[in-house]
Amino acid sequence: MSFLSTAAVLYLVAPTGLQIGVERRTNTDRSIVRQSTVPVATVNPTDAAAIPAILEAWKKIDGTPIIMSYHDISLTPTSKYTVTPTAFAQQMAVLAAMGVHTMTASEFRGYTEGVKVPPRSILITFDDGARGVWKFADKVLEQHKFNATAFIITGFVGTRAPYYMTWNELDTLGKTGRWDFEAHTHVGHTKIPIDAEGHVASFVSNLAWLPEGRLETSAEESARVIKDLDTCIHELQIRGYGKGRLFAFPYSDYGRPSNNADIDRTLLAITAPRFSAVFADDVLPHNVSGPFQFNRLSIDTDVTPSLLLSNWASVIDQTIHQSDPPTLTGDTTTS
Amino acid sequence: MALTRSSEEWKTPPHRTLPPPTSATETSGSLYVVPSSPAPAIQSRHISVPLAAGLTLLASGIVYAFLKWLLIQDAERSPLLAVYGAVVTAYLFSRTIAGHRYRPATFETTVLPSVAFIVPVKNEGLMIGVTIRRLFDAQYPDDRFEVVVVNDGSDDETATVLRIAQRAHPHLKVINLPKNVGKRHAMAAGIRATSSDVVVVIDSDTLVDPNAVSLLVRSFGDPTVAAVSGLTNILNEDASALTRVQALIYEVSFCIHKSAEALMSSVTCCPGCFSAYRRECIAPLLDEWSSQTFFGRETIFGDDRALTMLLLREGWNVRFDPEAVAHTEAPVKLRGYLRQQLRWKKSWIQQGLRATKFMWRRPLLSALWFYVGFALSFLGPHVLLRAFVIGPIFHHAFPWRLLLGTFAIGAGFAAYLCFRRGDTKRLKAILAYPFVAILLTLQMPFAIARLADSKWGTR
Repeated sequence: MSFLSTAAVLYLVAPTGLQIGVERRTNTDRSIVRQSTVPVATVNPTDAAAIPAILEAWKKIDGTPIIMSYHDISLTPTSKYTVTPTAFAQQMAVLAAMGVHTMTASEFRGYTEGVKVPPRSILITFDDGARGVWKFADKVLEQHKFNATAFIITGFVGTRAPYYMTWNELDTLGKTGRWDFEAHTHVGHTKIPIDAEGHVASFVSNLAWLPEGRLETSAEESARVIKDLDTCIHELQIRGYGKGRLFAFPYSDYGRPSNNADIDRTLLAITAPRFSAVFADDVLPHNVSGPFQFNRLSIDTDVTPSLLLSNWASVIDQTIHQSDPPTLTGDTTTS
Repeated sequence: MALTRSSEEWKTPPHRTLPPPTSATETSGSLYVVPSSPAPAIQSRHISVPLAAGLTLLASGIVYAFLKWLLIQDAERSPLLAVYGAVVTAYLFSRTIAGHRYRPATFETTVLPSVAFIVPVKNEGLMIGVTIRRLFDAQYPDDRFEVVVVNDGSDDETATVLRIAQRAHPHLKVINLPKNVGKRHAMAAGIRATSSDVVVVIDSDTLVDPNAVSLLVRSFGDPTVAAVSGLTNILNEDASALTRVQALIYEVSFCIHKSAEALMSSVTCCPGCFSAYRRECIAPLLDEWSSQTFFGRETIFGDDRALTMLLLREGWNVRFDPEAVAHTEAPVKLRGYLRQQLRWKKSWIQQGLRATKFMWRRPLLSALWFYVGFALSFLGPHVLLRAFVIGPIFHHAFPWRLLLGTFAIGAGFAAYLCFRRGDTKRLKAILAYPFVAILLTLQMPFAIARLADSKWGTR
């Protein structure tokens, strides 16, 4: 290719790339994409047959909600955290067949403060505020009159189109009464350098490697994370959200891995005054859930209705055998 | 100094004095029909010209104002687009107002300079005989008028036709170049072969109104003027929707853009189809002009813009005379039109790049117009990409604002021209205008890619 052809391609591509880059990073997108209707799913007889036994076991832990976590719903799953609309519809159909009560964020806050919850209470959560929540999940929840909570990275709303939802889409969802929006950091859902070699790790759980060539102190990390969380809370509150004062950890990790020896105490000191409950997935010691930190059942791409039911049974089983009160200062190695 | 001497020469009384120049519409009885006369069929329709043009102007004005209002509303969200909109608006309106105000300078026309038509030809066959005969129809004193045809190494019967034509026209000078040297060198040879005060360059297919030459040369009464562009109309404007759009674009470019530039005495292109140059001013520039290169290759096309730019660089004034009218055929098919436009765009970039070095020395407004216009022409494709690709992907927005804006600009210009012409002919082109304008904008990257490709392509 000659110099001039290269120049012509550059002339065309470089500013376009720049525009795309800017569009993906500014959260001024006001668009509302079209919602897709997902056909109502039915529960097949084999799965239906397994339900009564699970309901029987569930009675033993009445008053303890089961918490599910989703990320994105998409026709073309690109990671194990993405569930297809069809699979999601099947899972909701199974829940409906079990006769679950889907909690709102405020109800969950009430629960953490000691209010009794109805039998078969569950909390359906979505992390990140991805587009699939708006595009697919909402219509499926509407079919079953379910409530759900989405944890929003407030600084990412309307950016990296078409991945994240826009504020206009969030507001439309908010008006349905089905949805609650809670905290998932402002821009802290990211990785930061943690050593001179340039290794990166979670923003919230780690001491950052500073430009002057040293690690942050625990106090500096606290200040940084607090600033981000307070911005996130503020962004939600000015729009009338965040009533449940719930927080889901980025990467669902609850401080693991961390380069801060004192991470558990640091995170507790940061989150306890701000939130009524914090959430992570399968990383707390398996038997630990509540009254402040909660483990969620993470639903991955390959979860069929029967796998969901068997996972459900084991969550109930674990909760029944939960003996020790939640502790975060002990051994937190995860399975 | 040389200039003063030249002016003195002109004051020697000519053999024959011309009647005062008539306007283009009064040339009945000439060989060809002048298409700029008002068409009575349109006048007799039940909608009057001021009403139709006024309504169109009002509608396009409201649409344009509404779109700009939207841009202002969005200024916080997309400041760059708002700035772009403001710059485009300022550019278009200032050009239109300036173009509207422009009147050609009128000087005493009884003192006529000697004039030479320069016609470079190559393999024109029998047609060249017709062109030459028409040139000699010019209402101009015989002894102050000659035609120089440069036969640029034709290998057909052109040489024979020229020999025969010479018998009928003693003032026809023919230069036979033994081999093909290219248009610029051929023109330079023709210009060097004459000693006339003014050289008029035309294309081999240009039809010049008989009174046009005497009108064209009147601007040279101002000794600072080195070149004058005439007005070229399209002969076959009713051939297709495309030629109607071209007629609109031609008229906008002459009656608005070239007129505006002429108000600042800085016309940036005297078209090769019909323009006049003061020979003394271009003679020292001929070598530089005919041997211009771009990326090491000789530039073949864009001879007209190149010569005009050289004159602007040397500090000469360049004007436009809308009353000196010639006619030319426009490409009827899109393919031919796009090829012609690609050539024009390439010359616009090449000569524009050279001109960035000196246009700041021109009058402030014309310098601003040049730099802003040059920048806007590079931004155009990106504005289109934004509207047609980025918008739909990131904002789920159909590009109705861009389409409506282009439409409003075309309709506004057409309505303005209706008032000027006294008929509603230009309104026929406004629906197709946005699509042609968008196509031409999209040519920019191709023009850049093929800048050094000096193939002419056919008309």
